[in-house]
Amino acid sequence: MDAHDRNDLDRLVQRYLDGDLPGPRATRLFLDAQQDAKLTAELETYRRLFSVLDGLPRAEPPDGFDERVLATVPYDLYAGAPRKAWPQLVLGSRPLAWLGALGRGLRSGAGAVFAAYLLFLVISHSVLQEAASAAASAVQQGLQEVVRSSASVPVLSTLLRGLSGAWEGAVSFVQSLSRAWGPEVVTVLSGALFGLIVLALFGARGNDSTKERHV
Amino acid sequence: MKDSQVIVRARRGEETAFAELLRRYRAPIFNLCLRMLKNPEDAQDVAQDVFIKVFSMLERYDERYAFRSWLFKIAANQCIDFIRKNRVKMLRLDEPVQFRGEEIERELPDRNPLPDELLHSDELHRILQEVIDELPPHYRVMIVLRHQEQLSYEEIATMLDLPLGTVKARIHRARALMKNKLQRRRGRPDLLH
Repeated sequence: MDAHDRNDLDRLVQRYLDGDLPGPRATRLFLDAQQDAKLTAELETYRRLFSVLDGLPRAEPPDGFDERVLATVPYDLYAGAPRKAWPQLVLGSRPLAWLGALGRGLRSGAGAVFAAYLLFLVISHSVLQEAASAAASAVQQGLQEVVRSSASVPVLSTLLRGLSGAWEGAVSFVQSLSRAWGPEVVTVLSGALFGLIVLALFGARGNDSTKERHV
Repeated sequence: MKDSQVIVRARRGEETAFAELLRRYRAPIFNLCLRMLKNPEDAQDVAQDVFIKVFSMLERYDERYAFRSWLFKIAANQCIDFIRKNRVKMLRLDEPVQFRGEEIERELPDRNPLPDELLHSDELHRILQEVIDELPPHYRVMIVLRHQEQLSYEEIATMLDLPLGTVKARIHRARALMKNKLQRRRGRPDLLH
């Protein structure tokens, strides 16, 4: 018997024992086995292999396994968290994680306010304020120029007009806020907003890296 | 109570529901990890990671599919990832090697002669476990899922995202390899009789 026949026989016998052979072929193999000692031996060998494989004992996890797993369940992720004792209500299911998150939040907030303050120190200089105003005007003029030159392409022209309008609106909004609250407040608020956006972006990237790859 | 009902309770944050899911699946998942990784400490770590991952992703579980399939899929992937990351550490001298796309079994002298008195059930199980350990991981997972967890070919194919034909071919090949290895055990060509 060559290797090819050997593989065919292996497969045929396994399919028979799995109940995966169509009726007539299964019957024929059964009848053939009555006449063929080699086929009978092969069937018995696989039957025994199936039997010992099915009877292989299942391993049990060691003591303490359940406790370790249950200690890590993120109950707070799920709505309607169970009733808890007051220390848990105050600190959460995982106090250390909670305190860590609070620390990270405070650190991030302080960083954003500090960045805003530095930005304020720079922009509050009158020369820089004029430069910023001139830059905003230049961007506005540039956008209007592009809108004019793209008039032949209706879709692009509409989009650019929208962009130009949005820019103009944003500049007017900042200027009116600046007049109402003073440039210091506006600068600090802008810095804080910028800091939060950066943090949100970095935070989202961090979360993505922990996602399940296979599901 | 059905798995789906327990999961509804777990999604509401009921601690007893998580404990119930763990009770139902702790043994099969640990067993799969142990058979795949061959080391109780690694199996414990990976099984623990599987449950942590599953319990933190219950919101993403799709009720149209069996929870068991979803759980085993995550476990099998975790084990295969672990093996991939620790490939050098886990390489055994007696594992088959790949040569031009074909698996070649290394012929090493058998260090475990099998006198008749050792062939009790426990000893046979130990030998069988050694033979399973010698299978490549993608065959090993099939044998465990099919014979220990009694999953159908179709369930395994769905679980591992493989064509049904591939699953059948791998299981047939894995069994044939095991049969040959058991028959070649020195002094016991009749081990399976």
